[in-house]
Amino acid sequence: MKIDEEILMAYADGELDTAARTTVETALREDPALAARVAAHRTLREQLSSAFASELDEPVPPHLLAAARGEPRITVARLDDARKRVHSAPRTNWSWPQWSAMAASVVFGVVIGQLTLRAPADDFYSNESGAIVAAGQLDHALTAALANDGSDHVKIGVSFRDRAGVYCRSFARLGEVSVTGLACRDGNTWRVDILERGAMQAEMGPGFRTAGSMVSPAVAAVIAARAEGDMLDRDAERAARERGWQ
Amino acid sequence: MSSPSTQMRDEVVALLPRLRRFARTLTRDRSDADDVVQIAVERALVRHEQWRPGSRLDSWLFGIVRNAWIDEVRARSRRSAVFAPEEAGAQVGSTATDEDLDMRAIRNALFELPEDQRVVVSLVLIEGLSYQEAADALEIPMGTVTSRLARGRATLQTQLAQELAP
Repeated sequence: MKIDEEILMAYADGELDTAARTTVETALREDPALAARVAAHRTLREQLSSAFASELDEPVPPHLLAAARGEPRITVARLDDARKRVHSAPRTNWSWPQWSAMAASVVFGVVIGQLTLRAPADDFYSNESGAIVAAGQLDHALTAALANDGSDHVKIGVSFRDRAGVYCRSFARLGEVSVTGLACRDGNTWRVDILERGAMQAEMGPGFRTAGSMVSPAVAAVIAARAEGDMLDRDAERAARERGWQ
Repeated sequence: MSSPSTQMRDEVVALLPRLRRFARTLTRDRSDADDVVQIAVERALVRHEQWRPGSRLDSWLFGIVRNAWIDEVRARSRRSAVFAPEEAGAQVGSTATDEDLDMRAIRNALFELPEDQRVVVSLVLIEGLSYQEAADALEIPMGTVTSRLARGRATLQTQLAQELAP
């Protein structure tokens, strides 16, 4: 009996129903060459499985575990990557389109709620005809501090110029509920473009020293997408500060 | 939009080793493979409502990984990015120094298959999906699965018959 190769393959893979299986088994008993071909199919499956078995035993890297759990990731390394890679396209592992959509919906909603509920005399922001502008301590830190410096309450993270040549700086406000964000120069003020609440855990410990860099992957992706050229080093920051960040 | 259930997240975590193994049959570059899995997992969580609880989560995820790789290939050709060349791929993907020569021959033979055939061989023969599950994952007819599988296997068997020790 002539058995089609695809039927033999399906038999070897356990894909046939009872009737078809019986037919094939009858043919196999009569023709050792057919049986050998079935065996060859099964051997190939085993060979492929064992050739890739080691992949299965490897420990899963933490960033994948975090992604699978839907956890926000907090790593300084993300922005260090941005420093190196800003000349090429962003690494796909930031999933930029997904993060930007989520960031836009989550972050701004939190901010607006926070500001409208607060008493007007907040030392960090003011709400000027719909735009959030840095005030008080935040304005002072953005204008005067260099990266990783700042007061005990506000730290500056990274500084860069966007594609229009505007200076932008990331910052972190430390406290019971941490807030991190991104502000860009607008005339004599700093317009706050992004505010994230709770991007850092209170238990970060020594990490607080570089808190300004600790933005979420969402903000890191925004920075990587907006920045033109490298993150500013200290000399470049000093020079920009001299010019009033214009 | 609701968030993915804890149960779903736990199942995704449990599937990560298989998703990585599958991604390693799409590309020999380990960090590319992990990047693709990460994109796929993030997309899956955003689209979690598209998965019907009770249906095969692994098939659904494999399909997302496959599409994420297709998107990545397209994006790179638009950016004219350079792929790790296939010769370098052999070193990039190599594992411990005591790797069996036979294992290397098998892996090389798999990577010489056209991608469409390699994907089906990987899902059915390595990940153990049935023909129908593979067809559902890839959103192609089952007949396409069986014909790509048959051609891929025939090529592999011919090649390995020559290369492997008896």
